[in-house]
Formats: sequence, C-alpha cells, structure tokens
Amino acid sequence: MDVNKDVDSTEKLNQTDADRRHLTMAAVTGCVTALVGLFPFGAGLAAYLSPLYRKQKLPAVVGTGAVNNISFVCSLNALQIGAAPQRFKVKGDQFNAWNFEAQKDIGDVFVRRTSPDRVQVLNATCPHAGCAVACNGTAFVCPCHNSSFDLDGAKLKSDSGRENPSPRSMDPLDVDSRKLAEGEIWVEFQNFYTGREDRKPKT
Amino acid sequence: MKSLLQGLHVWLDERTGFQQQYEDALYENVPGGSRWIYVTGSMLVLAFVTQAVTGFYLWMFYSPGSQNAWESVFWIQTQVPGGWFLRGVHHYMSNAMMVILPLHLLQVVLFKAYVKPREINFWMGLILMLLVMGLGLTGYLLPWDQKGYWATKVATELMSLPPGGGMLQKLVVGGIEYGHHTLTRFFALHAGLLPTLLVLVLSFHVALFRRHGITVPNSGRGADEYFWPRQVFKDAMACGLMLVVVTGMVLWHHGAALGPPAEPLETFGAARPEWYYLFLFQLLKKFENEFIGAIVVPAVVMLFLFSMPLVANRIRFAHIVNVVMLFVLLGGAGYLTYEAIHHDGLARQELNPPENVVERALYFERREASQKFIVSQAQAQREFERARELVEFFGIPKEGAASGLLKHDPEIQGPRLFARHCASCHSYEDPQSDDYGNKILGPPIPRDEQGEPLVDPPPYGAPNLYGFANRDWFRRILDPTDQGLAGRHMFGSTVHRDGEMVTFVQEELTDLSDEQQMLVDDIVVALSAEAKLKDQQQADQVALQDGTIQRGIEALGEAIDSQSCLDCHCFHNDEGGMAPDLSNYGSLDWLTSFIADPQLERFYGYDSEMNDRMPSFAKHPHDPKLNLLTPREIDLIARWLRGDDRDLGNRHLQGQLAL
Repeated sequence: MDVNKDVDSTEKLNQTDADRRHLTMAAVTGCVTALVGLFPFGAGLAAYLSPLYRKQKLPAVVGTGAVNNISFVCSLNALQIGAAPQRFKVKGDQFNAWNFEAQKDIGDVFVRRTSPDRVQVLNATCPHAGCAVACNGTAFVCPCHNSSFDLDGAKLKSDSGRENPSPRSMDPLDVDSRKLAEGEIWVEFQNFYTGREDRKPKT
Repeated sequence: MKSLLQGLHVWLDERTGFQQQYEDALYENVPGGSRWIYVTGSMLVLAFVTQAVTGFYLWMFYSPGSQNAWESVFWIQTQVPGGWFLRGVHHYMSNAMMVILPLHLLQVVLFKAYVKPREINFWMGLILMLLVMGLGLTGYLLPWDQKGYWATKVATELMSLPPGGGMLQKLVVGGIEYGHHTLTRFFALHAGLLPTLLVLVLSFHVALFRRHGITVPNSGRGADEYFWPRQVFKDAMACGLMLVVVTGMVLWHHGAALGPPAEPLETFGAARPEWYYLFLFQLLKKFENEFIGAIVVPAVVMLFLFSMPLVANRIRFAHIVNVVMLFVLLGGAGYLTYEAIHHDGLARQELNPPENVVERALYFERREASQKFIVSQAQAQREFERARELVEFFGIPKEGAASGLLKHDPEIQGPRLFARHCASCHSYEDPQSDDYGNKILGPPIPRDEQGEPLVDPPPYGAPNLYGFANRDWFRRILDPTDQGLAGRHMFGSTVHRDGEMVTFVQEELTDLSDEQQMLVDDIVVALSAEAKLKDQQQADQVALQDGTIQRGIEALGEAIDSQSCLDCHCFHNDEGGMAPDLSNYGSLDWLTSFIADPQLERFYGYDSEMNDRMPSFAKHPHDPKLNLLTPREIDLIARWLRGDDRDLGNRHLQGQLAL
C-alpha cells in the first residue's frame, strides 16, 4: 500500500512538474513567436514615426549665416494707408522630404497698412479647413465652405443670412517691430492648426 | 486524351482536394431559389478585382513625388496608348463601388442578414466599406492636381481635430508640409496597406458568409436552388451590366478628369472632394463647430451602424428602427450630396429668390459662391488644356511641369496674378457672353440689407479688362449708352463715371450723323492699332492700307461736335491736356508702365484726384522692395491681357523657358 502511495505521489509530482514545464514552454514559445511575428513591424517603426520627432537639419551651407526665421514681405511705403489688402508670397527655407530649397515661397499673406506706422499681416490660409481665401475688396471669402471675414480678418457673423463655419478669425502674423521701424515689413511666418477656436501653431 | 485529363484531375484532387472546394462553392444552397437582389456582393468582388488589376497597370507608369506625380499621370492620360481608358476604368469603377456598397448594405439589413449569428460578418462588411472609402480618399491625391491636392488638404486638416489628431495628421502627411512624403505615404496606403487589409477582411467576409449561408426573410418563396447555374448567371449578368455602364462612362467622359498640377500657394476656387464625399463636405458647412460635423456626427453614425446587430434581436421593433434609420441616413447623405451639387450650380439656374429676408440674403450669397465655383472650375479646365499645349510644344523639363513650364507662361500666370492682385477691383469677362468659361470675377456688386444687389451702387470697382485695347474696347469707351463708357463694364463702378470723359461721350457722341459716326469708327480703328495686338494684326494691316488709320488719326484732332479728343489727350506729337496719353495706348510698354505706376505724368499724374484707387504696383525700378509686383509679374499680366503669348511659337516664351 505504502509503496503504491509513494508511486502515486511521485506520479503526481511528475505530473505537476510536466504541467509546469509545459506552461513554461508555452509561455516561452508564445513570447518568441510574438517577437518573431512583430519583428517586421518593429523594424520600420522608427522610420515610420519619424515625422513626429525628427527635426531635419539644415544643410551646412545654410548654417554659415545667421538663421533668419522672419520673412520679408514688402516695404512699408509700398502700401497706401487704408487701401485694400495686398497679397504677397513670403519666402523661407523649406524641405520637401529629400529636396531642400532655400528662399522658396512658403506662404501666402494679406497685408494692409492701417496707419502710417502700423500694418496688419494675415495668413491667407482659412482657419476653418485650410483652403486659401481670396479678397474681393470688401471681405475675405473662402471658396471651400464659404467662411467669410472682414478686412480686419475678423470672422463675419453667421446669422442674418450668412453661412460662416469658421471657428475663429483669420490668423494674424507677428510683424518684426525693429524692421518695421526701419520701414520694412518682415513677418514670422507661421501656419496654424485649423478647425479650432484657439490658435495652435503647426510645428 | 480523356483518360489523361481524368488522371490529372485525380492526381490534383488527391493532393489539393479542389474538387470538394469548388463543389462547395458552386453547389451552395440558395434557399428559395436564385434572386436578382443577391447580385451586389459579386458585383463588389468583381469591382475590387478590376481595381486591383487596373491598379497594377497604373502602378507601372506612376511615380509618386511632387515633381513627378502629376507628370506621370499626365503621361498616362495623354501619351500612353490606351492610358486614358485604363485610368478611366480605375476611376469609374471606384465610383461604381460607391454606388453598389450602400445597396449591398441595404439588402443585408432589409433581409435581416445582419443579426445573430451574422454580427461579425456584418461588422466585417462595415470595415470593408471604410476601407473602400479610405481607398477613394488616398487615391484622389495621387495625381497631384489642384483638385486632388486641395480636397486632400482639407480632409487631412480635419484629422487634426480629435485629441492626438495632430500626430495622426503628421504621420499621414509625412510631416507638416505637403510634398513628396505625402505622396509616398498616400501611395503606400492606397496601393499597399489598404488593399492588403481589404483582401484579408474580404476573405473572412466571404468565408463567414459561406459558413452561415444565405438568409431569406420569408421562406417558402420557391424551391431551393444551387448557386450554380442560375444565381451565377444572374451575378454574371449584373456584373456585365456594371462593366457596360463603367465603360460607357469612361468613353463618354473620355477617361477620368485631370486638373492642372498642384500649386500649394494658388487659391483653388473649385476645391471639392469626389462626389461620394460631398455629403461630408456639405455637412461641414452646417456646423460652426467643425469637430461636430467632421468627427462627432460621422462617428455617431458609424457607432449606430456597428450596434445595429447587437440590438436587433434584443429590443422589440429594433430591427424596424434599424431599417428606418438606415433609410434616413442614406437619404440624408443623398440629400446632402444633392444640396452640395445644387449650391455649386446655383448660378447656372434661373430661380426666383426666396421671399424671406434671411433666406433671400443667403440665396444671393450662395449664388455668388456658385459663380466663383463655376469660374474656377472653368479656369482649371483651361489651365489643364494650356498645360497640355505647353507640354506638347516644349516637353516636360526635369523640375516638373509646374515650376518648369507653367510658371513662365503668361496664359497661366496672367489670370492667376490678375485674380490675386487685380480682381478685387477689375473683372475680366466677355460682356457679350454669359458663359463662365473665360471669366475672372471682379468685386461683388454691393447689396442692400436684404441681400439684393444695389441698382445704383457707389463706386466699388474698376473696368472689365476683357479685350483690353481692341476695337470693341474703344467702341465701348465711345459708346454713350448704358452698355458703354458709363456702363458697369467700363467706368460705371468707378469715380470716373462722373468725370469729364463720360460727360464728353454722353453729350458729344449721341445722335450722331452717319458722317460723324464714320469719324468715330475710324478713331476706334486708329486708336486700337496703337496697341499692336497679335489678334488684330491682320485687321490693322488692312486698315493701314485702306487709309482708315490715317483718317482716324486725323479725326482725333477734329471736333466731333464742339470738342476733339486731342483737346484733352496727348497723341504722339500732339500735346493734349489733362488726360491719359493715347500714344501707343495698350502697347506692351504702355500697359506695363501703367500697371507699374498709373500716377505717371503720361497717365493720371497731372491730377492725383483723377486716379481712382489704382495702386502703383512697381513705382521704384531701382528699389524692388518698395514694389508690390515684380517687373516679371507685371510683364506676365500685360502679355496675357494683350494675348501676346497665346501662340506657342512666340519667341518670347521660348526664351523664357530656355532660362
């Protein structure tokens, strides 16, 4: 009897041991299989996600001068006080993936001289969904979803028979005050996320 | 021979079991017999296979990248034999899928084929629908033309709306700016990831469908049948019909449309998504909070669709509600699509404006927006045709069509610069025609509080420059009627309508004798010849030989009634007084000088009050920073207005492109 008991317990022991070994084996196999299977997805992840974190380095030749993050628009005296907004393309250094272009057109702005020494520069991109607005002399109108703004860039009210889906007024750009004092209009050109009430710069 | 085939059959079957598989497929039981309504699934499979095959063909010609994408699609469309047909089939078959998908969905729900145990297969179907819509969206960008670019820009801008959307947007666009990487990523999605997912999900979808069999709502309709041959016949006929319709569309439209190459800094007034996304486009106009229109509403709709099978058998009448809701949703999408198309075409229709004040104002505003849309669409078409001429004449340079060809062409850049810098005062439209094909709209006519255009508006614009300096132009100037100098195409919207010239024309040139009218006609010919317009070259030559020009020049100094032209204007050696110089009026030099600085002595410099609101665009030749336009830009506008470079054999254009 005793002997049988011993055999039983040994068998049981062996059984649990086998179970454990089996479980370990299963876990290890599972992990290895998952790793092997996920490898190809992981291999490309850093490259795929690079737009989120990679800052492209300017070519060395550009770095030799002082880096300008402001763009020239026009001279102050090119604008008549109170005249309709004028449209300019502003230039800056830009990457297009593997291409680098120095001083290419990077944005579109409307400029208006509001007083002898004040100007207003508006980004021509519609804050609703990112189309380019046009100026008809009395208002800015977007051709996509009919957003409309007065000449100050303020969004026109959407009641009284006007559809205006834009969540905010047009985006003003910072004018460099030192250059303005010298009679030239330079702006910090910036695009903003569209479709939201606040202005969040795209960086 | 027969025994050899039989032997091969047995050999293959022993190793693959294919006999059983195709028997399972062909002898699937169709309860109640074959029906036409079951054909949509097969149609979708055929459509997808067509897309995959035509897609592979297109792949062999397509090159993503912002200097290559449009160029390679243009190449397929215009140069590759049968390329337009191939691209057309790929385009219209995607349209066909968008028509059949909702029908398939509707059939499944109507037949209650989405409830237990088929929930998962229903969800697979919805995922397939989303994948197909994703394929449509990613495919639209690939030609990198203006409409694809702007439609996709809007769609990807919307991605940034939900939390974390900014990151998603960067991953999809490949950075902040749109460029090569946007195309490579979209292409990878369109030709790689999405079709792979689609094949995987579709395999499950079909396998599960086989597992559950066909659902028939009211059995006892008729005797059961096998899938083969009657249902296969019906499927094949329906597929054949689809192919006929798609081929018909391709031939009718001569393939899929292609616009001018994408230019990220050119306002595109006709940016619209493909028609199957118009309901979402229209939905965006409805909400001031874009998040609701672009994200919340579509998400709620998808959530509803996904939850349909879960509630159908648990809650009473839920199935009925599901069916009704589905009709409401499809109807709503249909209505929004109709509304978007209707609003865009408003200017082409003769409708009575609504009585209600608010609706009336809205109507006029929409009509104006519609005019802009139609004009922009026509302009894009014209630009494409011109791009085609340029490519056929010069070939596509390495830097691409946009920066290598289009940038230097007055016929393309002239209207664009005009729209950017001149159209807030001037228009460009044939006064004799209502056709929008060749128009650039000027400022809108001021409206009263009801939105009604004012009958007698204050000065708000400047002359319509269509046909500048040609004979019609001078005829209009010397025309005392409402269609003439004081009309809306000339001085009617400027302060000059109260000026001396209008008084002169209205007082001196009305009720003319035949003899006087002949003098005026000669003046028209003589002055117009000063411009040396290409279009009028022959007519000017004739007028020179038959003495009309000489008579016209002499007539300038003769009093028509009491005053002559030269009492005020200069003409070559004849000194005039206080009015613009007519010597070489409208010539390239005259026009570029005028745009550069209308305040010059020659033009309105004698009296600064006389220049209405025209800015000096390039007053300072030696200090370019003070100018609003570069000399090159002014040259492009002037050459376009004069039609100088319409003919591609022109040496000037060739010189520009050689640069």
